Amino acid sequence: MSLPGESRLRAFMAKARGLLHGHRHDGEFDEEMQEHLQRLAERFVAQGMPRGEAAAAAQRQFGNTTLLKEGRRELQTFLSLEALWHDVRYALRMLRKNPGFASVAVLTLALGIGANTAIFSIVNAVLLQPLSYPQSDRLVALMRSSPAGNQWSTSVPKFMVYREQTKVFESIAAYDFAGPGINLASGDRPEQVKGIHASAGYFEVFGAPIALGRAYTAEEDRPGGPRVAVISNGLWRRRFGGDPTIVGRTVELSGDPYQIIGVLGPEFKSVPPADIWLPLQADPDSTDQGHYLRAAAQCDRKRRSGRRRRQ
Amino acid sequence: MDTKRSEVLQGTLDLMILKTLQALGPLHGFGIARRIEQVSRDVLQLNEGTVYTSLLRLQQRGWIAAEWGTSENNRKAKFYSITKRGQKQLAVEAENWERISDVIGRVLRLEPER
Repeated sequence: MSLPGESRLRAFMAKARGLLHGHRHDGEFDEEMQEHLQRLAERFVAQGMPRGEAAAAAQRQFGNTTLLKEGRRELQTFLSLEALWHDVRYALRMLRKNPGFASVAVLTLALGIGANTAIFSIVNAVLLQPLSYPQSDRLVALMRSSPAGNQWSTSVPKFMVYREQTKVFESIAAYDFAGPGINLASGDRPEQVKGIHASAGYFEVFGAPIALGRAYTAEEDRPGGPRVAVISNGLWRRRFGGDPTIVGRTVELSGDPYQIIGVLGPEFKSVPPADIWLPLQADPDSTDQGHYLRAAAQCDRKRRSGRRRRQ
Repeated sequence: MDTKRSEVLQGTLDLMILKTLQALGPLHGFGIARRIEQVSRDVLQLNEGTVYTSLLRLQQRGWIAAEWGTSENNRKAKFYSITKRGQKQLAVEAENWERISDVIGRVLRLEPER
């Protein structure tokens, strides 16, 4: 019988199933065969044949059972690589003959795989991978919860309360959102870079590695403190050629001279991304109600961040 | 064996089984063999086991479906029935067969030219 393409495909799938399930149905077929032989024999006996002859006659009329089983196996499996290759080539030919079907199939696969890859990379980064900070299991972001809703932003006076009046954190830091950018003038060309104003605890909270020099201290992070800056590894290499004597150099940031006191390690990535960190130098007595800061903290060693903390 | 009985032509068993299932409804292998025997009036020589090979082939192509049930003598038996796709295929094959046998018939009736 001639075979339309769809049925060839079905036969191929049946073989593939046979490959997976082995010969689970062999037993069923044995049963079917025995039943058939028995009924043939009974029929011969009913026609007057002696019982001994009937079984042999039934067998003759039925045919060679071993050959039959082999034939079935052939139908259920890819007998050789060659046959498999034939089937694969046939499938490819059919795809070429039906470009519409082929493109829909390919598109469906592409979208399916693509969507799953995209979803997985997000889930992987957000849920499965730990944050890329050392001791990230103790790192928390501070959120204010009120009947009006939850807010991640904080103000200078609130930060001062967190810093001075809580004992659950080993270190705590406030930082701004990097703002519109800082004009960096040094050498021959000016450049605008992102800078974060952060309190002195920032580097400890995020475990920022210091490659050269040092981070600024709490002493320097006071109103009227010195103009010092910590720069990223990327900026150091790109802008200053990886100069090992950079520490102590003065650069101009948005018109004011700042002294570079430290360079971070290349592995550190901040959120939001930035190339320069400047002391926040917030006034502990400030009454500024501007909520332009975020706060993050390291819990002390005994308290892991597994459960939610309320203040 | 009777020399007048002819072998079943390659591929025609599938067609016969499809037609049998379409005409008689669900049947087990033994029933199919009996029906073919009856219709062929002892003209065909059939190794009844080959019915099962054919049934498996038809099943793989989705033209028939199989289900376990109880036979008329109260024994467990696998019943085969034709599917929608099988009905379509049967129509195509039957028409094919008519055309071919018609052509062969005409060829065989040709008189030698004088």
